[in-house]
Amino acid sequence: MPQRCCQYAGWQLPSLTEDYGTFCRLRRNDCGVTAVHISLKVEFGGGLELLFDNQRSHKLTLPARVPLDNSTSSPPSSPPSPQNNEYEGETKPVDVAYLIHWLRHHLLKERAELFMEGDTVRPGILVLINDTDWELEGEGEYVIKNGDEVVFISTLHGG
Amino acid sequence: MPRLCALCATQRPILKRPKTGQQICKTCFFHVFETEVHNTIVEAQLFQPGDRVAIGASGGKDSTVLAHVMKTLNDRYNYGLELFLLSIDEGITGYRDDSLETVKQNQKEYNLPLKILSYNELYGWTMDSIVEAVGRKNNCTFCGVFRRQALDRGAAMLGVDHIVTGHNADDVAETVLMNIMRGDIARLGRCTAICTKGEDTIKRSKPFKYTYEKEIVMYAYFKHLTYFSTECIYSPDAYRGHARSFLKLLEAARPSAIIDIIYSGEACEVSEEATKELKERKTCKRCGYMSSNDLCKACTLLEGLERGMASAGITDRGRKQLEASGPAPDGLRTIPFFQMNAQSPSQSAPDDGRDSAPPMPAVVGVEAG
Repeated sequence: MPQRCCQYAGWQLPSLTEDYGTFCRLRRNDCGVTAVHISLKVEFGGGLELLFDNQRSHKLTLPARVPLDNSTSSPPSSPPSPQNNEYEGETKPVDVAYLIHWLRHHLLKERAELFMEGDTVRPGILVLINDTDWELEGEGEYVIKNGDEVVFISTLHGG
Repeated sequence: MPRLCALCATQRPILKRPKTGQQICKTCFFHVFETEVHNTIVEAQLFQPGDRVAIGASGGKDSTVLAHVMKTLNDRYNYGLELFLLSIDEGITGYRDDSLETVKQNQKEYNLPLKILSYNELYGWTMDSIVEAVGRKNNCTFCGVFRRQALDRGAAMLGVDHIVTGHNADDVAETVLMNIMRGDIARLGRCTAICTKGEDTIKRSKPFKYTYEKEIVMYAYFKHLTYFSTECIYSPDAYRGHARSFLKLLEAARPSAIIDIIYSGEACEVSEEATKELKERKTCKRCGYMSSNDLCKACTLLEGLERGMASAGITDRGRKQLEASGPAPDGLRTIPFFQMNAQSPSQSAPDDGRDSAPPMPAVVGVEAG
């Protein structure tokens, strides 16, 4: 999975990785040390890992700011200019709702309907953010911080 | 100010309880989870000291957590139970063989004796070979009938008088919905019973009857219990799948829906007329297991398999075809004769005319994981 610079909105490969994020040289020169990417750990359990290449644990880097409509579609053909280095549409800080969309489009290998329903996870999938029920953390609206761990567990698989 | 646990008011909450909406911490969660199961057991008077109890163990989440909780409560509250693990090996390559490894791990962790009884041993057929013979359409019928009888027979071999299964509140609510949707009023009336028993049949009960699936999975997660969670590779029960999705949608909108549906099921008083529909129970002439006909369902299914007429045990037409093709040939493979209990002297002859045999425990609900 290629990592992407966020301020160029996935449109350029990053050339620098620092503790506070991964971003392209242009952005690095432009803004110095602003964290533009968030690193997090995602785990799948309860059978959900089967939809994700049978891999339980994933380390991800996501843009710090993402489209308001959770679109994770492919980058525009021409990179934005340095003067206009923000994502064209409206943005928001990266949250769990975006993560769910991102996982569905970039990591999920099969049967998307077993992972998502509508705009969120399918009912019956439990989500924990840093070992806490996401219902206590604002569910999809939870803003992801660097180093967070998000766990998805299906309760739908019998035995 | 950080939020605090609704029960102890000192620790950070980690879970919102679906049943009550309370936000509680990990310590209080373990406490209420285990205590509620204990209260369910005590209120329903499920056990007597000295009972020999088998935990139906599949390696799935429900039975893995049940084994842990039964062991914990038996030690904590001195139930005085002798606990066993009982697993059925349906003979499904890549599914049950893997999940049985989980059960073997439980056996070591909890130091409980384990009995594994296979379809192959009991019926001479594995699910793999049954699917090869009958295809994927009706194989779940074979599996369900064979598993139920295998559990009872495994229990009899262990000399236990009680099987506890991991059926949870979601399973029970789902079964209530399915019985309503099928118009199966007789089963609706008894599917919420926590314990089904007859005078000489093996008791079956569901200590997790009021326990939400969400909490079972959370309990396993926070206790680091490992369980096996692969879907059976042979066609899932589509009808139950719809009921399950529907229930999960209801739960998402209003978490108490599950417990409310169970309550509705319990409150349904089923008239005697409706339950009369269930035929009187007798004993299978061939294998001695409880049956509503001369031949029990498992014997009919097995005879169909052996004679290459697999639909015999599934449709009336298939059964008539089987009957029309003459009596069962000599040397037909049969199920070993069912002996309730090694210690009990009863049932030595196949047809001792026990017409007043108690009703068979309700065939309601999945064999939970």
